Amino acid sequence: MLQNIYDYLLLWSLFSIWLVMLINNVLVTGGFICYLKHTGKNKPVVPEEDLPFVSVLIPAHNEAKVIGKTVEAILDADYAKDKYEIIVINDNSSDNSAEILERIKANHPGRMLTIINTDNIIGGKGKSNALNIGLAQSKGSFIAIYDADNTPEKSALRELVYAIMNDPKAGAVIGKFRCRNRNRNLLTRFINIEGIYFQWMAQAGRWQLMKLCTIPGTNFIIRRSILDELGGWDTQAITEDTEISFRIYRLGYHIRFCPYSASWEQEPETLAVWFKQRKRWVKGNYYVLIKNFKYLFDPDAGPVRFDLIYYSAVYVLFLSSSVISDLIFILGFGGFIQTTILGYSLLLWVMAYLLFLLSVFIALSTEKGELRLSRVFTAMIMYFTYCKLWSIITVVGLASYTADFILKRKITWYKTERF
Amino acid sequence: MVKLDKSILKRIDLVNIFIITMFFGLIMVFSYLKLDANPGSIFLVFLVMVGTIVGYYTNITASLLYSIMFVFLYASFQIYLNVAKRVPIGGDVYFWMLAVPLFTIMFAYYGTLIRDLQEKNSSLMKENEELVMIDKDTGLLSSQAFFKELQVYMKINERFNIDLYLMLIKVKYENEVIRILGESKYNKMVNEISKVISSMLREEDRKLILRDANMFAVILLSNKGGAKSIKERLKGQIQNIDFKDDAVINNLNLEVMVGVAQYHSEEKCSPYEFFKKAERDLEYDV
Repeated sequence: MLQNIYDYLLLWSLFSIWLVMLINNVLVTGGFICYLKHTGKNKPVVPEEDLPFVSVLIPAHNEAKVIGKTVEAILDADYAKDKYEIIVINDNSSDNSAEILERIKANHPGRMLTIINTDNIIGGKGKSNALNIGLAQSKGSFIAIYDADNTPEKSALRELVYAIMNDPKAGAVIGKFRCRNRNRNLLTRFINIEGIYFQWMAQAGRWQLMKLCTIPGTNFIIRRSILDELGGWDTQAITEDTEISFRIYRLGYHIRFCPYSASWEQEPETLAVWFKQRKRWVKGNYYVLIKNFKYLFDPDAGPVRFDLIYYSAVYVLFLSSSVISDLIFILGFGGFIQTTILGYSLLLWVMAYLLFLLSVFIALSTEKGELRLSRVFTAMIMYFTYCKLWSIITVVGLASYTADFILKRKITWYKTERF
Repeated sequence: MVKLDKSILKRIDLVNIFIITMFFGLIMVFSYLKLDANPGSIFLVFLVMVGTIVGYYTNITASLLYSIMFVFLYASFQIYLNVAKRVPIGGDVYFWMLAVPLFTIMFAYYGTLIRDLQEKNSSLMKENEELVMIDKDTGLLSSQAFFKELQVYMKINERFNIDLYLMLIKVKYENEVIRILGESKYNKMVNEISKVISSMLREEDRKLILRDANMFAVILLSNKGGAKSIKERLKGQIQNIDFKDDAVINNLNLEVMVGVAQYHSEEKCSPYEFFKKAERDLEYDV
């Protein structure tokens, strides 16, 4: 029935695409169960007097456009004022961030707001380094982290504390992030859908099925004891969040997903900024993947192995298989090779498209007011535009990562431009 | 609020038309493509119907999950048949892959809209019940407002130390009067009494009609002894009401009982206890 090597290659690509779809479906189902569990009324709480002291760290580098609002939002949090401190690490900024921060501090006498301004000697070495500087000055038994462009909801910090206090096995608890400027243009609409989809499918789904989440870099809380044990953040990693997630799991803790806590952040509004930011993420993930690859064969690594398999599946299987099938299609079209099993390709494509749309809708339907007709249309064109951009980025990121590795370029602070 | 209901109704209309069209499409495809020749198609129609029920009774999220499961399993099966058994993939495969999600989601949306409407309706009804503070026949405040008003006046008394009285007015031998006059004439009489009460008392006194207890209540602020003279005047005026065309009522020689209680803030009684005190005083008005 299968007649030549191309048939086998095609079958391989078919199988790997199907496998990725299967994993995604399982995750969507997990996300759905998680959503059902969180619509109930038995939400864990902690009595007011038992709330622990929390240090909120905000690393910032040239964030004058957004830092003011972020600090004000966190000062305004619905949490006992004498039970949390805010530490802003204004890392090697050349704009007027320091001035803005001083003004806020002056306007809030009596509040525990520490501002650390660093120069390019001790600072300017990336987010991990900034977080380590902040950690050294903090007093809390729990450390919460917000990016400089975040507007957490008033209850966000409290919900994170509730979740981590009620789960002794949780090394960290992550909340949701949402897109604040989602109606600005088509790109931010795409990012909004992507964000919601990612939270409910990847985070909630993995949490439900495997007690596995990755820290998204903002709106999360972590036990100080764990940070001390790990020796802080890895300053070599450019996606310090994924990196620390893997290390938390290897210590035997899990990371909990808490959908009650939400923080609204600003997303890139131009393609160029978006491209730079995502390239950094992709490269960071390669770093983590390669650094941790050995654990794929280590039975003690626990659920982390799923993530490794999952990332490999997406990056290696899916990309290679789509390249193979496209190549064979082109070669077959040109008459260079002969294949006998091409009939399913349209069906496979329709299936992939439908599943993509349906799982995006399921994610949107879990957020109030998001499943609208306009969003449906956005999702329909997203598959042909935004998702294709992602494939380009994975390739470009890989090339750039390899170049960095060969040329031994140093990691610097990649800053996302604000609007 | 009214606008919102209209928009839900419009959407329900639209969804109805959509559903009818979809069923029409289903029947057309079924007969024109001769799908009934394949027993598998019957099973697929069954799955479409299960989808509509799942959709209608759950929500959009669950119906999407059902669709995802269906599309994935069905398409995987068809690809397997194509690769392993050389079964060609016909147009009907795509039709089913679209039909199941469409029907399921449409019915889920339909169910959601209807639930929205019901919730809206019940919340409006509840709200309405709480809001009927004014009796529509007499224009007096209704019993819904009674204890709330009483509480407010009790607070005023505690703060400003102005004497507060609660006066209850009841028709004497009321059961017999109703029996003789009948409901409609009795209501007419009640309206006349309420007119007298409204005109005789000051603007700032609260006048209420407690229909369940068949009595009027007046909450009044007055100086010492003020309540007593009001009581006498009220009784006199009510007795002299001239029911022009209803000689029957005139002949009855209408009489009312009036009970008055004064509120003493140091007693710290609840509005209900204050009311009971005034009600007991009715017994002394013989």
